[in-house]
Amino acid sequence: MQIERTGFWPWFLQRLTGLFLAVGMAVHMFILPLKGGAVNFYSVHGRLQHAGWLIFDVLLLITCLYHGFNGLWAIILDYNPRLLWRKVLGYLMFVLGLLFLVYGIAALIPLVGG
Amino acid sequence: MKITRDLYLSAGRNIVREHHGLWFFGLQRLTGFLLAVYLIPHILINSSALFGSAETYDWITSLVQGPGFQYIEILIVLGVFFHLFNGLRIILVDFFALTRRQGTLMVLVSVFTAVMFAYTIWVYLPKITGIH
Repeated sequence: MQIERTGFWPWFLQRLTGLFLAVGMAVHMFILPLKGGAVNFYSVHGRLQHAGWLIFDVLLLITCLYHGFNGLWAIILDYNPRLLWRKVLGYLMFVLGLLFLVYGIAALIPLVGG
Repeated sequence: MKITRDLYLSAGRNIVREHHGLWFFGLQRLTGFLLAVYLIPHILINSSALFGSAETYDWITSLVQGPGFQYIEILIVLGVFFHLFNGLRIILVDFFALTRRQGTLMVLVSVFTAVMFAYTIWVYLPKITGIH
């Protein structure tokens, strides 16, 4: 990702979300795949009863989606698309990110409620 | 520990001299792309409780924790940790003007990633061998 291509804010926010994700993803790895156990409804439901873990999961979802789709957009820019494509694909990344954010939060509701 | 220090400093210089940084750029892009794409099925699978009950969630999640999937999981964890450590290197170089220390930082990224990969394999041994 180059600041000259993306402008200041997408470049800066990629680094800011990256710093949060460096901690957040390490935690996510250690409490899920690296714990060695199996993931099921009961285990996820139990963890999400703590407000802290719920907030953590929502923050991880927001930062992950931003970092991922902003990163994909930066890769697209590296291929020097025409201005029209740059705009269309940029908005597509934005809309997809928002859709997955709403959908991801909705997916948490039955996991919290049980 | 002068020998250890000299070893990784010379390895760092070698990385820069031989332009191995291109590999770090390529791998950061590859892991970034794959993880961004992986996020989509990851969210879809974890939303399965929306389309039924706890049993639906357990059925879908047990499918993707079945035989064979442990190797995909190990690769995802490996990708996460490489992208994480190399991303921290990029942030350090960007904000603290450490371009001249890049080689050393790349050695550290490789070492940390290798350690986490070894740890992941160790945790996954029961799922690989089937011996608990």
